[in-house]
Amino acid sequence: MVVAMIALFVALGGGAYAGAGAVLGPNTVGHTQIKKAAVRSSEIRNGTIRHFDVRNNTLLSRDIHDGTLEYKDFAKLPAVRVYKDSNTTIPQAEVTRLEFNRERFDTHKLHSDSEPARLVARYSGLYMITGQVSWNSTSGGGQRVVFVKPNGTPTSRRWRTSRTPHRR
Amino acid sequence: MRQNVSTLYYLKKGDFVELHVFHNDGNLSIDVLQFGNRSPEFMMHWVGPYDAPESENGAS
Repeated sequence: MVVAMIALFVALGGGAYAGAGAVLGPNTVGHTQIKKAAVRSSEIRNGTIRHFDVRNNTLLSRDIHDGTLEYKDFAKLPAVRVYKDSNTTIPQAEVTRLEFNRERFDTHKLHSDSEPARLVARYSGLYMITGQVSWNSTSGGGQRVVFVKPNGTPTSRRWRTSRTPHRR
Repeated sequence: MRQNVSTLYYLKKGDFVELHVFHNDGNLSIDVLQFGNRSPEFMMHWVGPYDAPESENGAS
């Protein structure tokens, strides 16, 4: 009887000890062991949630507190501004492509290395495109035109143009 | 004399744009001048994602 009691105490004590001090082995807790709503912000170490941890299209604008996003939280938008540091002679009555040998800025290598006339879209989307030129003065009259030409297409009325009236 | 052209195009990845000029100013060749920080200049910036039909970008 005494031996049996001692064995019982040891068994209970050992079990209690194991319950209080047990260390969970690696990879033993799955999502089914976690109560719903049990994990809070305080349980997540700062800087551990990455973009690939968030399922696509799950975050909505209402999930973002007003005033929490700042300029530094946004990716730098692709933008480029190039120029040429010398005059370009334009022959009469020939559509002429302008080349640019200097960059004021180019955030995503939009200015082609191999084709200095080209600005290349590195991402699909809407692009605002602007060109500007100064011509020297002549007394020849006639018309001067500036085009934005996409993808090397043939001359088209659909190009975006700036066209002067014929000057007399 | 200064000229500007500006537009909003839908471009797919790898599409490109160029700036072209033309004149019929008598028999002369004339110059596009290098002038301060405004000539000749060409610039482009991404405004945002947009899935437009190709026919909308002016490339066709």
